[in-house]
Amino acid sequence: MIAIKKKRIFVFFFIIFFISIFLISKRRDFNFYNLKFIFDNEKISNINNNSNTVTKDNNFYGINEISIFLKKNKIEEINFDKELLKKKNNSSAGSIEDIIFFLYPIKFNKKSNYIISYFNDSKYSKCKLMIPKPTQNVKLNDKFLTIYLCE
Amino acid sequence: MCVTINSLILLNYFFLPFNFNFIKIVFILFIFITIITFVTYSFSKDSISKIFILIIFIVCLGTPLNDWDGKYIWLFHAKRIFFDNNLYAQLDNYMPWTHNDYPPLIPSLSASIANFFHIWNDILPKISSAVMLCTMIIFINSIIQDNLVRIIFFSLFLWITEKTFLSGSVDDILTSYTLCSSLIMYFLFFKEKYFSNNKKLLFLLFYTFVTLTTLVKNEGLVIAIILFLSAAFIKKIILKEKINVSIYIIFTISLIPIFIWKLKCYNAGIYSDIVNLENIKNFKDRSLDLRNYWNIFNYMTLNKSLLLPILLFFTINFKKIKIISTNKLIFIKKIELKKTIFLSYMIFFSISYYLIIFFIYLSTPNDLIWHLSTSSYRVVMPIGVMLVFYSLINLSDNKLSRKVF
Repeated sequence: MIAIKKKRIFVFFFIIFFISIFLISKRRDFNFYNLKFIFDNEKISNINNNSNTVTKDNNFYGINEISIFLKKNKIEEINFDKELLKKKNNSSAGSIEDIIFFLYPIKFNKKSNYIISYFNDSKYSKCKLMIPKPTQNVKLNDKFLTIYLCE
Repeated sequence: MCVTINSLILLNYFFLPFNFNFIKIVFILFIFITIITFVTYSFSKDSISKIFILIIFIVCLGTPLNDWDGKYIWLFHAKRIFFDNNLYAQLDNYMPWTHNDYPPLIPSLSASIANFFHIWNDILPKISSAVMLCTMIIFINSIIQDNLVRIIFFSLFLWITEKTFLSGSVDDILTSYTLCSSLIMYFLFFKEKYFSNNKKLLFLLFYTFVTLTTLVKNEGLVIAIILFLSAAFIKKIILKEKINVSIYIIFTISLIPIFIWKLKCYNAGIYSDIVNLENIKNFKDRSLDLRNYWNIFNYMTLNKSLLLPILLFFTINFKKIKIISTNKLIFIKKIELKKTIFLSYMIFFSISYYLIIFFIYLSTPNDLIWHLSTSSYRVVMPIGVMLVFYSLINLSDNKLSRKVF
């Protein structure tokens, strides 16, 4: 009798455990990556310019391509636009840490000429990311991603 | 097995500064082999713990990193160690808000796992959390003999640690290592005679668990010291018995790695942003306002990490608590205290730890409500899990656990 009771309790707890694990794993009241605010879901077309190709990867909202672009051009340090730095402490724009995390080993340095900039028009509906440089410029889809080549 | 995994994690940490890639791979390989051997060897024997290990691995590999701490502190430090191939990569204080003063034990394990697979991604290094939780499961498995009690304990453990377990944060690991360290210290201080045949093993367990507890997180050092002082206080002042000198020596040796790390941080000019010279000023400002006391109490106690364990603890251990409260803990009779020694030890630790955290919150340089809402439920988890463990061990039918606890 005791053994049957124990078995029932055992089964009961096992079911409760699996249900709780299922519920916990479903409870994602957070954003997978804050980067979606930066890149949104708009298309970035493949434009080849001055031998630098940037393609869009849907899963990573383009950050992989930025990383590849930087590595290709042997850029070791990047800087952020003032507007982006201002938003650092704003939780909805925690994106600066996302960029730092993803781009590592490319480091963030305030002295670097390569600046990642971030603009938003009305509630993050349209955002841009660019690496500006004064002389030549490579435009990757005017609407979205703009990369400028440096001297 | 527990000693083997702990030792391999420690060896991986100690050898990492020497940049022997081959050794890193060997350590990780041995860790995996040990866990696989434990899980696959006569699966039906301790099936509960083995199923839990499998579940932990599946959950760890099947969930994304979502928590700020998990991603930008622990995984970022691991990424830095992996790419820079340097255990002390964070000592350049790059991105100071990622708490570069935190010990790099878990990042070092994550980096070695990434090194083992020869690729960096955000999910694989999370195995380090599962590996470290395995030691707790194997250790607790050997102490709790009843299958039902085991399953309730592991379920409650996951229920309490919930979000931290999924998010890549290390508070669940700190909680499990606190529980294991407290048990080992309890055995060493008060129940040595039951382990006279395995004394060397017990000392090795003591060394590995205490060292790992201190290296998991900054709180680990505080926890290890409180655990040791609580046990020493009960043994020497209340029971008036002698403490084995080797316990002192091993405890001191086990603190060396964390002090080396702290010394390196000090030399590099990296300090904790929570404990610093501003604390006294903040404490003075906040201590006069009673609302702060209520807020801290509210956030720290009225959450599921502590409230449920407290309720469970008082429901199951009503009789034993009555003995302690009627005898006024310090003036308790020796015979009665011996019956409730683990309880007294645990209460000593819980109250001391709770008060220290209370003081830290009262003197935090951050906004109090923000700091409480983001971390209070995590830091009280060691107390919660210890209360749950104590409540459940009394339910066990096993003779050994009845004798020892």
